[in-house]
Amino acid sequence: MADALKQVGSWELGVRSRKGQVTIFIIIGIVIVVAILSLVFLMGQDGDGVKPSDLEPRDIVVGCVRDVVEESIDKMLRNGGEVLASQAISYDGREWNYLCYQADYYQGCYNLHPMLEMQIEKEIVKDTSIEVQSCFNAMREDFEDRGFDVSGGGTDYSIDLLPGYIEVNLMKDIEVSGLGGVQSFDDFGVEVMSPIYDLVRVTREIVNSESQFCNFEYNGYMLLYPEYDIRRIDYSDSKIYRVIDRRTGAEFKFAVRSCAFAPGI
Amino acid sequence: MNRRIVAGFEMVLMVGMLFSFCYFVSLNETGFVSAIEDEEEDRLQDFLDRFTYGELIEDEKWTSYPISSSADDVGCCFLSIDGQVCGTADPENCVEDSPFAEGALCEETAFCEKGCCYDDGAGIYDKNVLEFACSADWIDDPNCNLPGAALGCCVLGEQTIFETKGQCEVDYSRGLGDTDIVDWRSDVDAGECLYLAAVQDMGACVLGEGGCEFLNEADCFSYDGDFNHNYLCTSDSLNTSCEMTRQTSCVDGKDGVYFMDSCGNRANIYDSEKVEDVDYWDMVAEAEDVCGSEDIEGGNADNPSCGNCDRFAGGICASASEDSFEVDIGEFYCRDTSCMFDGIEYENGESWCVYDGAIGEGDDVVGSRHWKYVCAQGLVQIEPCADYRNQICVQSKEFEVNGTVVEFENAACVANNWRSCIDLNGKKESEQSAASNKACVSGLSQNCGNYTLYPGDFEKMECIDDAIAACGGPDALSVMDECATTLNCRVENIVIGNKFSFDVCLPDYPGGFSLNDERYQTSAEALCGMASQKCTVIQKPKKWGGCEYVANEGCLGETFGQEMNDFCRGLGDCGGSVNILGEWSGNYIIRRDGALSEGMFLSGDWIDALSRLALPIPGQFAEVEDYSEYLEAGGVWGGPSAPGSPEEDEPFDISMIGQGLSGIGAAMNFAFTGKVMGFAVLKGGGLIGGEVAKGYLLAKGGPVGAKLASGIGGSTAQGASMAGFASAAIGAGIGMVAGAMLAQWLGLSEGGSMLMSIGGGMVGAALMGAKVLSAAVYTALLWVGIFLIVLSLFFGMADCPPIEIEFECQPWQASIGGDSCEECNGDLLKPCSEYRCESLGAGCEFINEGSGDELCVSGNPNDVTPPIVRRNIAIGFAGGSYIDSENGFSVVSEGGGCVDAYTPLEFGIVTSEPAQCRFDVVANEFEEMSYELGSHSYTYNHSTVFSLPDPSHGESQGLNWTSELTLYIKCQDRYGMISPEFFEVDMCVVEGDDVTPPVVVGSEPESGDIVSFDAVNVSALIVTNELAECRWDLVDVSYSSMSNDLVCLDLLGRPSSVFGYECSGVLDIGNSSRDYYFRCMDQPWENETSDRNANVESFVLSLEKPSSKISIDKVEPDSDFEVNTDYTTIELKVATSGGGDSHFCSYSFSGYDTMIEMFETGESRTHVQSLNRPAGSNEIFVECRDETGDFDRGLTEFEIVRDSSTPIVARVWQAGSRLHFITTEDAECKYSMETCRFSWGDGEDAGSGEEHSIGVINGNAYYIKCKDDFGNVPDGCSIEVVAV
Repeated sequence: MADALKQVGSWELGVRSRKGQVTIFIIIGIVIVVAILSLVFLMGQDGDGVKPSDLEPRDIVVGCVRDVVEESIDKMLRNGGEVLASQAISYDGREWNYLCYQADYYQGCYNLHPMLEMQIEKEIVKDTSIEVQSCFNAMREDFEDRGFDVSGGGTDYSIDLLPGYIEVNLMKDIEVSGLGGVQSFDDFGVEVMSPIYDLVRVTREIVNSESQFCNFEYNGYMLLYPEYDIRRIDYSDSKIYRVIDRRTGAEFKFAVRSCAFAPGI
Repeated sequence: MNRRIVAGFEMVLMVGMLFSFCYFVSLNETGFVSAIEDEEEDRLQDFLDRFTYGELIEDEKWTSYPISSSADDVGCCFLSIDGQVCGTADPENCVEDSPFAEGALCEETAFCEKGCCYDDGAGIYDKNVLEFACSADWIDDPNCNLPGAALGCCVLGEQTIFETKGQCEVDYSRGLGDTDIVDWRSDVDAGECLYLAAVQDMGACVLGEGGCEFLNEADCFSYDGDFNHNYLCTSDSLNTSCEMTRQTSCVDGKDGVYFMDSCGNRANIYDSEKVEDVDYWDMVAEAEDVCGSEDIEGGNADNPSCGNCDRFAGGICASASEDSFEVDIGEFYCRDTSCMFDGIEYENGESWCVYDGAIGEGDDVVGSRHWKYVCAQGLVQIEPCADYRNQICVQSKEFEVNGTVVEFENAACVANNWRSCIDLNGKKESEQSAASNKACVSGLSQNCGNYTLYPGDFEKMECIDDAIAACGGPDALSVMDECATTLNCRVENIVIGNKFSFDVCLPDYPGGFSLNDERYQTSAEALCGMASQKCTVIQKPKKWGGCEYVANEGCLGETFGQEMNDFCRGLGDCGGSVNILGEWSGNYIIRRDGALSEGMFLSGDWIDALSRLALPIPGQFAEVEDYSEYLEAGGVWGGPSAPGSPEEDEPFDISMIGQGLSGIGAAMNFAFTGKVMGFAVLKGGGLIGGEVAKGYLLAKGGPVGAKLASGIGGSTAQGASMAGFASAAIGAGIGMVAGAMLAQWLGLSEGGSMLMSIGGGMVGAALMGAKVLSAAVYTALLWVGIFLIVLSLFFGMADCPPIEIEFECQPWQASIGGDSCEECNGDLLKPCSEYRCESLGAGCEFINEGSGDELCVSGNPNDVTPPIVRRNIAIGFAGGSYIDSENGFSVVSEGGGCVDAYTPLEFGIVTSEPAQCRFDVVANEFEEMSYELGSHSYTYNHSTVFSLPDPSHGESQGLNWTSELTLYIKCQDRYGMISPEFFEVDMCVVEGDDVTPPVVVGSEPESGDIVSFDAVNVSALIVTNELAECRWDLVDVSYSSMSNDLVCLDLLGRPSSVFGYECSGVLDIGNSSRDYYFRCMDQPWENETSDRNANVESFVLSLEKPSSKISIDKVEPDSDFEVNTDYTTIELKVATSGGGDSHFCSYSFSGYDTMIEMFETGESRTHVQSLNRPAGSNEIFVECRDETGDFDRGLTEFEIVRDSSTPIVARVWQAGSRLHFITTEDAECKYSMETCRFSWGDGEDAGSGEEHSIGVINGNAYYIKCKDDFGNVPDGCSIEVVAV
């Protein structure tokens, strides 16, 4: 204590000096600026862009997962139900995934992606699993930054395509312990609005018809179901399909090569 | 090969394939294989395991095809190196150890068999799926004719979905239906299902505390609400909290604009005048009772005050703000769904055809396409039919709905059947008629006299002509009858000369050809070549000098070029035709006696008329024809089914000489047929050559004179008094003979010869009878005779050789340059394509393909560099070498000297850029050169082959053939730049006595071929390298000892085949296989056989005869059977025996006139076709042919019985606490204690079989439904029972 008093005394002496006073202000200013900058920097470094907040764990995870899944759905719509088009034709500067393909001339196509809904469900899970886990990590860091302990069990994650929306089934046992005791969470499921299920149904009709009859009478279909806008472009010896949900503007894109004709014999 | 050996080999191959294939999968990171991960990879491995364990190897279809990794032939490859699954490929392009079936179509193989991938529980049925690609259940029915795949109407409250029952159950399970009772109706079609949604009983469902939702009754009950039928939630009588608003909205499944209440429920159709009308917000008002109901035709489109839209009439709910439409109230209005196009208004859903020019009758211009336009909710959408006119746009203006004719423009792009039309021309060859026709012609021709046509033997020519007409006419007629009834085909009757007329089957809408892709050029040339024909105009000397036409004078007129060009362009993109801009390009040549005859080319007026074909004809469209037969072919096109790369080489076949392609046999067949039908006689007409016509008169005059002389001479011995007069008579005879000989020597006409003979006779008589004749008589005879002799000199015989007019039909090429390329760009209604672009100029290039910014541009508009020509060093010839010279190269023999005559010489050049090359024997300019060097298209490589003529032979026949020969070559690039200097090919041919016999270079049929079982004789054709006479015998003897002559109609320098001169004859075939020996002797114009060369070794032709005629042993199905679906995939199986090596079967549902070749046929004796057939009576006609043309026909009749009845509960009784019931058939039964509409999976088990029993509690109701073996189950209950 005595040493401390001595130091204070020496401070006081210093303060009396005008020069020392200015120096102290400068130092304090620098410290404040550094502190602010550090804070800003640390916030910027926070895991995966999730900022600390006062949200509940579920809110943080669900919001994050929704964004991740929506992004994946967009990929599915763009690439004919896959993260990346696997067998595709280049048109209009992008790849159009073949859902039905026949390498030979004059023959009906093979349906390359049967059970498309299930494939898409698996693709979305595969595409988003890591990022979904990141959502939990972000939540954990957020709460740990706020002084909570977060512990969790295994993750049970699946996707269901349903009419009008996608059901994200996300079960994970989370325990958050802190000042208020322990709180448990397990259901992080969320519904993401998307017409992809309905678009896939229309796509099935198209693929089945193309593989059997080498044609899909989409104009008649649109007359019966005006909620869909189906565009077909004949390109090279393939057909480029865009199935558009008029209400949301979402469109499912894919290609078909069925009963192609040779130029001449 | 022994089947077990094959199977064993396959086993070994498959085991190895399994590992290497997996290795391949692991290596690939892109393409199709990369997608095969985890589960899919497992499925693939499981699938391949089945090969390993022989499960699939035992499949008959699989073992039908040998596995080969070394064969050149293409086949079905399971996985190609570019990642494609189940496509035709070369073995080299197939992944090592991937399943490969040589010569097989993929759908014939077990590993590429299509099936149905389905999930009964989810109600999902995917058609045409490979087994390995299916993650669910798979069955080998590509059409998914399964009970669960039937579509019905799933009623989900106010919404209805036309889907499978399984999907409906899933929808219910996911809460879409708001109840547990699945309402799925199998007896409702798609349209009715929509209607069902519109007529649902709706009403206000009051939920308490002022809440209200507008629902149907069932949904309302599920919410425990108070349902008020036909009331709106805003009804005062309901005392809800829902208020009237000025908001409007579109409603799912409805066309109109609806008011919305404050609770978010829809109210009645928007009517701006009733926004505050309390009565209008009270009860549901039907569309026909509200505003705008009188606008039946317009559907209230663009009505700002009324939202009573009707999508079919022309209006549908849409956002007003998005369309910048001012609506009286709210945000929505009835958007006009009709379209205006070209001044015509089309209703929503109407579609129509647009063309680039005239269509049909072969008038479609090069580069043109058929377009289908559609009016889709106010927007005109473009649907281009397949390019290269592989599809045509057909249109109907009305159709019938329930007996009522509705005017509605309806267009469709349908497959263009053009290939079949052209195939028909070759049918004669491929089917027995052609063979018998040839035999017939040869047989009858032999009856016309000796094997050689004597000069001027018009009678024999007529005889042969009649034989051809007799043999060819009826057959041709039947083929043309078939043509007339074949879809998209027409019969073109070409009548130019009296001996140059024929019918040909042409497509209504000729197909387009790839204009620059070299892969298709050869086949295009073969196709166009069908119209390359020669017409020989026959003429004979007039009696008093000059010539007169005997036959085909019409070929000298302008109609020859016109009609032949119509024939030519009717085949496809051939000949003189215009592009979509009406720009002309002539791609034909007319030669007269081998030299270009530009005077016979099409006139400017004719070209102008053709140019007008690029203008669409208002109101013209292709009408809908009966496509049923073609659609019946497995649901796919009835067109070509044979696989094969266009470059696939065929074994040597005389009919394929020079073509070298599969798939173009039709063209060659036609060419042959054409000859048989009418062209051969013209060739025969060519025998009356100028050099032999002189002999005609000698033959006429010589014997007459001799006979006269001998007759007169016989009378001189009657008396001495008569001796003086006899001397005079003898003198007259001598004088006449001498006169005739002199006339012949001088080449006088028939009249001149007569004068000369008479004059000679008179002079002879005067000289020999001077002693007995008076001075006056003597003087008169002498001077009149001299006068006649002198006079006769003014009647010289004209040289009247046959005139050969040749039309060469070439594939169409655009005119040089690229000035018009840009015309292809910028038309949004007719987007450019490669074909369209390339038709606008030889220099046009289609760039940015696939980028969305495709453009047609001139590839090198500033090109001023002509092509540089060099010798193709890759081409040599067996008998010598090529030596480069300063401006070309020389052809020399092995010894360095001249080349032997009749040596087949192949040479070629290479150009520095794609170019057309021509050559001639004189140094003409490019445009005037007579011959194309190689392809007519712009290519780098140009080559040709021909046989070097023998100058000695030519000179002996008065032809100007020299031993020194120079070919002058020039080339032109796409932009019209022509190589400035001639590229010269110098050669010389050995001149001197011919000491080598002719060589037989080919035959038809080939040795080893099989002939018809019924054949008594067979027509044979042999080709020699030089003009010769040929004979045959059944024993190998010398030429002179052979007893049968062949008919050799060719002339020197005019061989019928590109490989040489043809001779034909009819061989007695006998009852078994035989060997035939042929020998030939050259120089038939020589009288002395010692000057000629005959074969000392025979050409042997072995022909086999089958031990029995082809017969159909069995056709399946042949008995009735039951199914549980409306359609069934059946497998039509035909078993054949006997006949030749290859059996081809076809089928039809309507008769033997229109047969469709079966998919799996040709190789084995079992022929299979998968067919999708409706329930009911079925009749299938079957015809099988072998390569000899023999055929057998069969018919199978069977009934497909649709069992749609559900099991009936025949008896029910209760014994204590158990309820017993019996069903009328074996069935599985389940029950519920709640409702009849329980899901099958949710029901309690009630047992299987005919007798069933369940435990019951008295007083409870039991709802029982039973399902039979076919899956038939009632929508409701089979029976409802209350236990007592």
